Amino acid sequence: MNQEKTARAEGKTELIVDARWLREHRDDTSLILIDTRPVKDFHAGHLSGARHFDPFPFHHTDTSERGVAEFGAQLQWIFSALGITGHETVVFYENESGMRAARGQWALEYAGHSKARMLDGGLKAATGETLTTKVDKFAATDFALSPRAEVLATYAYLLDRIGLPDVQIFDVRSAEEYFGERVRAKHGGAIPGAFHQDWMAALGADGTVKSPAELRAQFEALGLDPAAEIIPYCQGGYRAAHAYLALKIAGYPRVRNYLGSWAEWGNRDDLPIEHPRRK
Amino acid sequence: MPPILMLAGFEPFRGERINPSWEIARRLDGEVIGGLQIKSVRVPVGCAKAARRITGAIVRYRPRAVIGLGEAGGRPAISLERVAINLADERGRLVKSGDPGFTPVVRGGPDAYFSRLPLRAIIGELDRKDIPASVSLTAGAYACNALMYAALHSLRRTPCLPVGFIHLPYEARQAGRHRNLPSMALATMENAVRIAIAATARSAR
Repeated sequence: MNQEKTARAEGKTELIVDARWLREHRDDTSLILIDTRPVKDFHAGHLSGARHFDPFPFHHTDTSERGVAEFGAQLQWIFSALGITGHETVVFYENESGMRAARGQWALEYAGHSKARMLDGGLKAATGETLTTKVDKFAATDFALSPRAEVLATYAYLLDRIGLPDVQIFDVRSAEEYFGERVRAKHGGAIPGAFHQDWMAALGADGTVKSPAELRAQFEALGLDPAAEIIPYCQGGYRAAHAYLALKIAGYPRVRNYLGSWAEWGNRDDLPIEHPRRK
Repeated sequence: MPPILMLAGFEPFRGERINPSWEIARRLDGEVIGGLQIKSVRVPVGCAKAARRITGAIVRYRPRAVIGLGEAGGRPAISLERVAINLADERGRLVKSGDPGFTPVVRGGPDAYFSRLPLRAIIGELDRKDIPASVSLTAGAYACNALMYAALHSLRRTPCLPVGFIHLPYEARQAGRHRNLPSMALATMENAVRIAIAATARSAR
């Protein structure tokens, strides 16, 4: 089982690491662990040496040029405060392969870091690890922001491409949100032409991300074309960050997280909306 | 930056290597005619795709005028479409069974919109330049109609902005594949489109 899991994880992508990799690299001085759970969970017990960053309070749904610049400045501050230099391997974790850790990974990758990772399966999978309440000291850095625009989509980027066959918009909210039964913005509905599948479909029962082959089959059955650029979105760009990872694992080379997601699109009055109906 | 006139052209389809609508839109991209800067938009062939694409582009670029161009192989002249209907024959049912079905372009939208281009002025100008042109009462029920309908629908609250659609015959290079059908030189069609844009720009003031 362990061997099979390892082989699976190795096939995934370098964007995620598994519990065995973590064991093997635990003493690596160039490894930084980031605990993305709520702060009280962190203080109740975390992986030793881990630093804390819960991405949930850092909503950012304005993808105008100015908004994206502000997002970058915010990330620069956060990653500097976390003592990240840009040379180390940074592993984000939570209880399983969830959206918090994925958002951390995606945000650091967007900020220009080349070794941002998520711990597959999170604490649930890291069974050999004992948790500690001791918080280690570390020095803040001056993180150099170098945004990778190719992993982020803005509303204007989407507007320019809606309807084009080589760009596919991927709604990963719940079915209730997609079909407008649960409205979490001024308007209900979906971005025109979006494909839909709940982000949770990318997770296995054990809380790890499904294998590349499983994900690939699942996405292709949905109609997502590996030759196209895929733009996942959700409500706030967290579940979509997870979908970003899942798509990368499945071997989709061009993926952008729509940072603004429905919190931006559905709150504006000028953007086109479709109202999908259940069949 | 001058205000924008959005000029939409379709991708080649049904095995054609070119589509005169995109050939012309592409050539005029960035030019300023009658004080309006042309922003060309390449549109995929399909009702839903075309409607979504033009709607997104309109929101993005906030044009002062919109002209859609499309290919109507077999028509002998430049056709200025008068009306767009809320009917999307996505699967070609009209060809297969004679009945286009009832799928709308926009759910809940009105049955039809009329062109908001200065048709009489355009026809007059084209007549003077001896370019054959006529007003058409149907843009079909496929992608061209869907684009025209979606553009008119998304700009329904600004009725003073000119919006419409022009169908083009086959281009001369396509004539070899369609020996018994009329075609027109690309340069002539380009000239016609320039004339239509200039007349539209005058009406947009």
